[in-house]
Amino acid sequence: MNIQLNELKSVLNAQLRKNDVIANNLANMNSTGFKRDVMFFDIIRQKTGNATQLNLETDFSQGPIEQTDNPLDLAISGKGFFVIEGEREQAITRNGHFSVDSEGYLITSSKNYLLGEGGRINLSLNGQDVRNIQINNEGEIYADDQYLDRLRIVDLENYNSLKKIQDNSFIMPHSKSVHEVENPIILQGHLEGSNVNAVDEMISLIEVERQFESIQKVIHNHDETMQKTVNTVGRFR
Amino acid sequence: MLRSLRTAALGMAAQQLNVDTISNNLANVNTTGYKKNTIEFQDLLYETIQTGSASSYETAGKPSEIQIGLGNKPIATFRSFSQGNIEDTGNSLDVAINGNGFFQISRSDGTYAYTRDGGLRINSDGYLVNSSGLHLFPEISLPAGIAAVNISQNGRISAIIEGQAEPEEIGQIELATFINPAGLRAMGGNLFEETEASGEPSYGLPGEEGFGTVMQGYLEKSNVDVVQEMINLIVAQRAYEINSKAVKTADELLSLTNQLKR
Repeated sequence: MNIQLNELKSVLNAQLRKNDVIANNLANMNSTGFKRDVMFFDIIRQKTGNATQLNLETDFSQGPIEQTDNPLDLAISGKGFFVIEGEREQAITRNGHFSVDSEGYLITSSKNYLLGEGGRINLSLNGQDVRNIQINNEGEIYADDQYLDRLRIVDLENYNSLKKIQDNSFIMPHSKSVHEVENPIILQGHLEGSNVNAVDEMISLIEVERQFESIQKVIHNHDETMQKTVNTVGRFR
Repeated sequence: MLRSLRTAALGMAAQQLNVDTISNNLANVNTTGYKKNTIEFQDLLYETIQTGSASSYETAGKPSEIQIGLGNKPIATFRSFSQGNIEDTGNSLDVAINGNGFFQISRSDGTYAYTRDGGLRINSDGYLVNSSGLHLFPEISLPAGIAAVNISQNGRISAIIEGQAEPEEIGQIELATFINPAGLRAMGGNLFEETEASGEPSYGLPGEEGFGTVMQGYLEKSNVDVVQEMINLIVAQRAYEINSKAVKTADELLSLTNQLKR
């Protein structure tokens, strides 16, 4: 009897975790380039223990591409990630909202440098101000028709090993499956929105709540049965 | 108590900031030289509650690592310096910049501020000032008895003085540009201040390479697109509402937990 209660407890805890994931998706409905997480449970009990096995997958499907008309807003249509130089390590992201720092380098909102094939990308020609910037579909950057650099766009064969860090980016994995994308499709003046779908998340919220409720009912029934066992069955008349 | 309760609350707070930003844009839809602001959000730190083990990596082909996000945060407000609509005012001291550049204004404490608002006036001492009475820099003083002022596209100011046939050249408007104008700090009163992010200003004359030309008799209106802002407002409001549903669900879960023990 006690063992069953333990199992139910782990199911309740798993539902709470799932709710955390949904809440995070909903909070990031408007975060540029955010990829939603989906939590699911293994039905088959693991040999090692009674705990419900939790699994988390990130959904890497394309988010909606919105027009912004800002020349430094870039969206990748299809596969690929921008490469940025973080404080400690390189990271990859789908968030294409860039700006220029006071030295003319292209940076993300969290002040990390965007990397091109030649390293950091400086948009100022000979210390001059940033002028007319054109970035074509292949990611080649031109300032006043003068070629500057080409964006580094990488992709992986398997996204499972990607680890999220804050600021809508992922740690660059040290695996061999990382490769440069030959023909990326870069859209200048566009941003990729978050791929969170409000309908899906609301349905998941309802599911979590009702499943939680039904498990709660089961615990109640167990409790009642045990109460009967203790107080009625064992009573002498 | 529940992670999701706080996460959803952060989501609501972020949307509230979003609505604040949009309302400020809408409130300034008719402000001369106003540049619209947008706010950008990013996800917060992830908490690893289950690390991937080597064995599961081998069997399932992937680490079953579980990271749970803790919500989102507003990371930056981003000001768009795209050109606003240029409107004919018929006032000879209204000047609009068509293209890059800012007018330089000297403030009372000796520092400089920058603006796109070219609604100039003449103060009682004969100097050109902006609508709040701060001097344009370099200072331009107009002689008494002016019949008409002419400002060329290159910013040269000449005046026809009563009783004289030939116009007299009295000054030159200079413009400042920044490598990263989005990094400028808004000071209110349509003024911007240089920051570390914006870089130091570089000066030039209107019409030079990289600088816009000036247009006399026109003012630059705000670059706020009302339709776009209304759509943003709807999105922000709905996102707020949906996050409040997440708060409610977390609350229900807590209430159910509470009822576990009768």
